[in-house]
Parts: sequence; structure tokens; C-alpha cells
Amino acid sequence: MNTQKLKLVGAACLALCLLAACGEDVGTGEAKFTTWGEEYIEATIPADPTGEAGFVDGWTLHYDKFLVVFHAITVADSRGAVAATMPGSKFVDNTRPGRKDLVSFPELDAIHWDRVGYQIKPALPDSEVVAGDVTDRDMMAANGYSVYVAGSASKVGPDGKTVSKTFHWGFKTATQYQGCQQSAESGQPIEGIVVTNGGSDVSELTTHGDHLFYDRLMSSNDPAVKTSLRFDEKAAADKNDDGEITLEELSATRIDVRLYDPSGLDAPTYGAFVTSLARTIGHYRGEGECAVSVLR
Amino acid sequence: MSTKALWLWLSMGCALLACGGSDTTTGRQITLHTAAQSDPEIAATFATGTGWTVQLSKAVLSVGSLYYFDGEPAFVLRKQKPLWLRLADALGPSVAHAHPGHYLAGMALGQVTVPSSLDLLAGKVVLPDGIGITGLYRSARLQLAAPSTEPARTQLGGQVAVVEGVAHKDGQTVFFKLSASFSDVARSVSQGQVDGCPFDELEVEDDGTVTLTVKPHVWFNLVDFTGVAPGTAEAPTELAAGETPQIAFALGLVQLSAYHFAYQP
Repeated sequence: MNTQKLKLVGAACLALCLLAACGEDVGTGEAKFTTWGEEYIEATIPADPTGEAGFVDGWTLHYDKFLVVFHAITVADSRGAVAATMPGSKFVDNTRPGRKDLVSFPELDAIHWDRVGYQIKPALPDSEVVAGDVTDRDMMAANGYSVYVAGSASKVGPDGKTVSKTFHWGFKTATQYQGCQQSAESGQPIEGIVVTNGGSDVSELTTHGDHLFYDRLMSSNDPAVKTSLRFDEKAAADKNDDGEITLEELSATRIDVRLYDPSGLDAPTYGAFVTSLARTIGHYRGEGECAVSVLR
Repeated sequence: MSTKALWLWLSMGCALLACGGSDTTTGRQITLHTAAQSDPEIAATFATGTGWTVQLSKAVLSVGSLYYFDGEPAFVLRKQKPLWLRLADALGPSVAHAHPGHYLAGMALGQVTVPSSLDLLAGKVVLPDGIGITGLYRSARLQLAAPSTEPARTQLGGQVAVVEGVAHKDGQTVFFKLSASFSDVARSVSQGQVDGCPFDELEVEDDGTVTLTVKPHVWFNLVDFTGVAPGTAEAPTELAAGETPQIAFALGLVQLSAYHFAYQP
């Protein structure tokens, strides 16, 4: 355990001790949760031959819909005490610009709540529409989708002509994101949230639109092994060449092992690959991460 | 007292205060005898994900170390941890968050650090004993490693794994030899560590035996022999590093579902 984590755990524990053992009033504060799709979902994922910030194979991609259903946003601590859990579920189209309010928990004890988690699970008929169309929420609920993306990608081919493909993919995955942690790049690798007396802490449940197009399911610790965004192979999976890439077509096409690495997981087709990646769209405060578990 | 020691002391003290005492059955040192075997399929034929039927005549694997954890296997249905384990998570070793995938090993509970080579056609083999502590075992790490001692080094030619056999599909027959080096597998999984392998979830309370079952058919999930020279039984076609079936074999070798762990008292 690193010193930073020790300090955080120690600080949380001390605070809890003060609260539980000493019965001291630490005050209360508010914890708010929002969601945002970032520029990749609101605008485009560009081409980038370097692979740093876009598709390595020349495609640009635009989302028309990026529908996500959030459940069970929970604030807790590592002893198992649950401070608050969001009732019901919230439907969001993260192509809608800006950050959207999901839930606010007022009057939480002003301590370090080090276990923050949430779920992305199928929509329900009564999922609250936070941003997006009711008809899309109903479509999600009717099909049992937790994540639904629609959009188009285009690329200028070697003959100078532009090739375009569209996609409408619904995923029925149910995924738990737990132990959410702010990334070190954001300042401090804080686990969960710190509620201050009289303060308001805001956590963004960020969705990453680029993940669906990664060529690895898990990143390598070897910096020489890059994770890149690729679309050529998905475009080639459009076997009937009608311009629409279906999940069925992706599931009927085996991955090119020279380019795609399931990283120890079972994803022999592009359909399985993209579906596994759909479980990784959920993040925390930008680049922060949560541990991912499969609920279904 | 250093800052780190101070914080550790405070954390542990507060944990006791908060919980009113610790679980006395957790954390006691135990001996973990170790065995390895292959799935029974290895004696017969099995189908690959690409539609080939394969029968193996040689399958040897070099294992560097084994580690057991309380964290859930990667990408499996999750169950709620007991309270003491959630606390142990907070005090246990820090683990890295991967991106874009995620596996949290949690607390290390046992290990076998003596390298071994497994002849998977030779039946069940006994591996060196490991040590561990009592607790809830749920996942494992198998580290693939180049063999460091004889006769494994000669048997494997310095590779992490070598398989030979025959594959059939639609009237085609291919006698093949496939191998993967440490660098082949390390491209896919860091340091050759196959993380998040399933371990039959069990509260381990005493000495016992951990059995590793290897499922070679998983190694072939992505292998397609289409276009490979037929070879013969005496002179199988050896697929060189970088050829597509060899890359696919190396990816299969690190697939965590190829390795399953179970404990018996």
C-alpha cells in the first residue's frame, strides 16, 4: 500500500473513529452526482495516425445517440456503512451537451466516504429521463438495453472517395462500477468522496465514447504496447455492404489477432469484443476509474 | 516512527475499534500443497472456435509462479463480500486499476513461487508446496515464464509453451507445432501474468491442496489453420513467431479461462 493510500485510509478511519467511538458531531454536507460524455460523445472522435487522440486508421466518428441508464449510485465506506443510494434509475443521452445532474444526497456526514459506486443496467419503463427523448427511454426499456449507441463514421479512401458507415448498437449488459477513484492526474488519487461540513462535493460519472473502439480489452502495463482506436475492421464486417454495421455482423466476424488482443478475456468476435468494451465506458471524474464487475 | 508506520498503526487501531475485534480465523498461516492436471479433453479431440478439430500429441507449459487472491475473478458475476473482507480490502495491498479493462486482485492469500513445467499429457502432477493464509479464496494469478532449469528448458526449447498435434477441418489435415515465447505472452499480459483466473470460491481454513486445471482447448479459441502447410506426423508444420496462427495461440495461452483453480482440504 502506498503512503498516499495509507494516509487516505487512515484519515477516513480516524474520522470514522471520531464519529463512531467518540460520538462527535462532524457536521453534514452534500454529495452531488452528474454525468458527461466529454467531447468524443458530444462532438466527434477524430482521426489521429499517432493513435494518441483518435482513430489510427483514418476514420472520424460522430455519435447521434449515446444512451446510458444509471442505477444505484451509492455512497458508502469501507466498513460497509451505506450513506445513501439513489432510488430508481436515470436515463441520459450523453450526446446532449454539458453535464447533467443525476442525483444529490444532502445531509451526509461530513467525512471521507471511500466507497462510491454505481451501476449501468437495462432501462426500466419508469427510468427517469434526465436528458434525452422519452421514446428512446421506452425503446431501451422494451429491448432491455443498458447502453445504446448510434452514429456514423467516415473515412477518405485511397481513391479519394469518402466511405461512410452507420451503426445502431444496443447492449443488454448489466455492470457494477465500484470503488471509484479519482485519477492521480486530477490532483489526488482519492477513493470515493470527501464530504465537508456545509460543503457540496460534485462527482461526475463520465462516459467514455472511445472505449467501444479499442483494440485491447485491457491495457498493457508495458508502455511500448499501445491501445489504439480502430474502425477498419468494423467497417469490413458490414458483409452486406448496406452501409449499416450491425451487431450481428460484428458477432459473425472473428477478430484479426494481428491487430486485436482480448487480453486474456473471451472475445473471439468483434461483437463480443465491442460488448466487453461496452462494460468499460463508465468512469469517474474524467479519467478516474472504478472496478468493473459483471452483474449480467 | 515513520509517517507510513504511524498511519498503518492508526489504521489498524481504528479497524479494531470500529469492528470491535478481528475475525480470528482469518490470516493464519497454512501450507498449500499444489497439483496440476489438464482437462480430460486433452486425451481426446476438441473443437476450436474456428471450426477445426484438434488432437494433441504434446502439450508442455512452463509456469513461473502462482498467486491466490480474495478479489473476484475478472469479469464474472459478483457477490457481496463479507464485512471483514471489505475492511481487509481497505487495509490490504494497493492494486492498480487497469484501463480499459479492470481487475482488482485484492489481498494476496497464497503463493507458489517455485517454477514448474507441466507435461499436460502425463496426467496429474505434483507441484512444489505453497504457503498461504486462511481466508476467502476467489481468484488466482498464473505467471507464465520461460523455463529456467533442465529438463524443462530442453523440453520446451526455451519457450513458455509448446504443443504438437493434428487438426482437421473440411477434409483438410494439418500436423502442427505451435509455441510461444515469454515475449509473445508478455505483449498481451504484463510480465506474463494471467490475472483474474477463476478459483472456486471457498473459505480456506486449514492446510490443503490447490489443484490447477489447464484447459488447452481454450488456447486454440482463436487459432485458424487455414492455409497452413499440411505437414506430417513425423514432420509437423512449425508455425513461426509472428505467423497468424502463432499469434492466435499466444493470445489463447493467456486467456484466463484456460486456468482453473480449486482447493480441497
